[in-house]
Amino acid sequence: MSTEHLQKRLAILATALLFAAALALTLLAARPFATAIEPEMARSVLVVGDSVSQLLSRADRLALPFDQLIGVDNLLDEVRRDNPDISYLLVVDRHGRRLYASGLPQHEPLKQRWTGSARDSATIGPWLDTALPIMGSQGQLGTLHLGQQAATVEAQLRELLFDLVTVLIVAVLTALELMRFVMAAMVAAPSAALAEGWRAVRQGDFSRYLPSDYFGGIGRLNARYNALTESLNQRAVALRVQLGDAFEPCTSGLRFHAEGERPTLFSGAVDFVRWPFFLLIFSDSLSLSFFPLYVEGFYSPAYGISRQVALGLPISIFMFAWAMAMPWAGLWCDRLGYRRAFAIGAGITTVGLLLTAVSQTLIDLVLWRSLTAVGYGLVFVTAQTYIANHTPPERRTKGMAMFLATFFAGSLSGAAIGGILADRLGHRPTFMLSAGLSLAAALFVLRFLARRRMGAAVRKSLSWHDIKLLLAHRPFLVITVLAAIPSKVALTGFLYYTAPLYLQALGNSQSAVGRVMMAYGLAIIAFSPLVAQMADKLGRHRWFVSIGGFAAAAAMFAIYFLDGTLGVALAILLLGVAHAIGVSPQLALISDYCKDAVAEVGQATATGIFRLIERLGNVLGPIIAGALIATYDFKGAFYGIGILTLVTSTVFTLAFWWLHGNDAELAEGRP
Amino acid sequence: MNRRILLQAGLSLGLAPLLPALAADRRHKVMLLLYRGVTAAERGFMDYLQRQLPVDFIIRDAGSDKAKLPAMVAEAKALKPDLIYTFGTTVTAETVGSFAQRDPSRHITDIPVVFNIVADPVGAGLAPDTRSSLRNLTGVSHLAPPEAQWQAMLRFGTAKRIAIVYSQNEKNSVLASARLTKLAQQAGATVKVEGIKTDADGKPTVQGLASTLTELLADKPDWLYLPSDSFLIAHAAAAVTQAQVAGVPVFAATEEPVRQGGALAGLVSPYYAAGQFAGFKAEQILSGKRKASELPLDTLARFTYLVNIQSARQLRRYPPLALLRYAEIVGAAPS
Repeated sequence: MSTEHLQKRLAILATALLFAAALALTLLAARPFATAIEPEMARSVLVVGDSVSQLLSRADRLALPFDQLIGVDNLLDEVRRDNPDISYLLVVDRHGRRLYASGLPQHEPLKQRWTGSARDSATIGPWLDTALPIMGSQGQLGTLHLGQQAATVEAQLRELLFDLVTVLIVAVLTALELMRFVMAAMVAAPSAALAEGWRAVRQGDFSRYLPSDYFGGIGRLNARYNALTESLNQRAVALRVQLGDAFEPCTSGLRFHAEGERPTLFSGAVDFVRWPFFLLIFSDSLSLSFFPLYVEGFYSPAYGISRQVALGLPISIFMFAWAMAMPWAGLWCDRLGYRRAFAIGAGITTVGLLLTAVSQTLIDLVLWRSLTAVGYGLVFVTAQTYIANHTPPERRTKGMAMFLATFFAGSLSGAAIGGILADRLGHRPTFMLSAGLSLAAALFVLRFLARRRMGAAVRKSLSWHDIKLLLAHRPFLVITVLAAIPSKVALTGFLYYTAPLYLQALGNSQSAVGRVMMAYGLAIIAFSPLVAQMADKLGRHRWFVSIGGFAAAAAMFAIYFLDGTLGVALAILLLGVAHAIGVSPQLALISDYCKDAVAEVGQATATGIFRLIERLGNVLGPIIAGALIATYDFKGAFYGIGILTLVTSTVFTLAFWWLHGNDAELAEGRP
Repeated sequence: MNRRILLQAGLSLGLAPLLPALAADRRHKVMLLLYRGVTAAERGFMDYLQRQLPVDFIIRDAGSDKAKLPAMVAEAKALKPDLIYTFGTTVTAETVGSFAQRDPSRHITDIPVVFNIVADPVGAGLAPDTRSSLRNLTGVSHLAPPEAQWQAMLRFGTAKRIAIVYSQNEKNSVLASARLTKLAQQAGATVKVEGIKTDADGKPTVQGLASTLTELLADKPDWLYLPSDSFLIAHAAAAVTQAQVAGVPVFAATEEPVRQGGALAGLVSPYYAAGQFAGFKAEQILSGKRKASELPLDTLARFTYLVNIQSARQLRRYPPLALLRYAEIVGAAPS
């Protein structure tokens, strides 16, 4: 069995165990919570009830007759209006006679409780009734009953359950990433090094040592191996002295290292970069669900731009800085090596997030977000290059899919956890935490990535000439402008900007917003491998791009049929599915249809330019959405983005039909 | 000449910190012109001012006799105090004249005057508006605005038929009655307004009050309203008793009818607090921080809702429960 298989099985086993343990803990914790919540809820109305009961006592001390008081019903109505949690209020005298009431439901078992001498709180039917004695100068005057919807208890439990399930999902995703890393660091990489060492030995190469910083069996084995290699080399040295010139012919076919050297075999694994990359994406996504709201705190009409546009601006500028940093970051990454480039990128991100947390004005917020974006871009490119260079060419597509899976796993986990954290800690502390996590990512990379320059070809720097050449190529232009850019507009304009604001406006908590946004990443992770398999089998990439585009447009109109939080959730889920279908085949489409142009500028450069132009959509998204919200309100923004996507998808489909007709499918299809 | 400038410079540089102390050493002379003796308002005024500055008070009281006022003003002119305090609209108008018609030979113009317990200084023609009198005059109005009083009356309960009584020779009382009448009528209530019957000199009399009230109370209105009116305040107990015998609750614009007279309710500035506020204005003028014309004519920002619980029980007109949250209860047996 290959180590990869073993790793996968171990990771699944460990994750399953973790899931079971977390689930058990959740269920155990939910039970005491359920019993504790009832008195806790009753306590929440106790203060209000007390003030009413005190007032009635005061009237009695002023010798006003308890059963002839004026304005009590009005007062109770007022209390109910100020405390929407309270569904009814009732004052009965000592004999259970009803004197004053507000919002009383018709419910027989409740009436029984009211006439009896009830105390404390009890759930009766759909109500939680809390009884408070009203004391007068001559003992108890009567009882005040306060009613709450018992369903509120269930609603709170449900909210908590949602949070726990969210944490579970995130924990599983995190555990999977962490397990892969641990497996790679503890099992796969050492075994690979061992195998490599033995293969060399079989060919008579005794010149290299194995890494000695492993624990356990592998560590001991490596130590023995190293000791053996060392003694062999020492003997070789001794032999060389004895034999002199005769040494070389005698030992032909054998290799030893030069005296005083100690070359060590390293095995860099793809998974080494996955975990810190996951951590960094996670840390930056923590703010995804509340970022537009955070920006709202800095807005002032004095900036001279409309509120909606101003709220989207920091996202746009982040995306712009990110896009602009990418080509530059690629060159940097080549020059510095993965380890340093990743660490510096994560370091910049850390500083950017810290400063974001302490921003005072919209201007410095935008500045610090741009800084964060530069660091983020550097890490993104480094991780991408690392994975590409550590995956054999025949498995390049799978490597990229894995890269994207890690990206979306980090992103959705971050968004969900960020919402929960923002609810409990507030916005600024959550940013601080983000900074801490991104620092952790930097430290991880410094510890685990080998200090080694990469041998791969240094990439070309971006030139205007290449960009112009590609843009002059019609299929390239059609794919980028009509498919790639609209996808990104929907991503940032709808998902990152409009959705959090609208969900918040619908009265959702931060946790709920994060949870709903998680749907996008989940859909991508679940559908992407499936779609990739199908697309490779069928080979009709352009139809996938078209279908993805139409599906994205349909997602934006989901709100029309189903308004409210559920509608937005559905729209986000659908958008995730649509992007899983339509986005990854875009690059394949370029390879298929722009062969000559791609060949001229080179595959890597073509991809880079495609990504750069595509990211323009990221920048445009919040600006378009902001302008739409300002003019047509939230729903108008959804429909606007939907119409945009619908139009571009239609034109894309028609353009390809016109450019290539149906027969081009034959050329595109693969055996 | 040069030496004098030098001396001044030296003084201002070296002795500057001592100067306020020197100035403070001088005792200020403040004259109080009153209409019906020393009330809580003057106690608040004098208590406040004494704590802030060394001050001597000269008190003159008209004993509710308007005829004595010109002599009091003439005496003030002769004594030349540093500041004059006047009580009520009548005294203040007599002391400083109206804004439109004032006579420097008769009225005080060169001495700063701080009035207190003036119901409506602008309505009474003392100043063009409340931002400034545009002359050597400032002061405190003790009344809650008529709107607030009307709302307060409504808050207690029914206010469909209102009776209002006032002294025809008291300007503020006439004004206040007219404004409340307008508000009540706008809210759809029927209002009966009567001036107290007067004697030959045009002064209200106790018998006149009794007979006017008898007429007003005949069809048992929801409320009898007593405006801020010196005569009515002096005879509050009689008026309230007559109303309550007829089963009609009384709402008063000032505190004495509720506290001493037994009126059911009232929205008032406590006299003592109004006096302290007037004292604060006097202190600013005396210490040279501001001129009287630079100080606005103020009302207190907070009012007290007074409820006489004894009368409530007697009339069986219980205050709404919500009122007990913030009303000051008067007449309760200590519990």
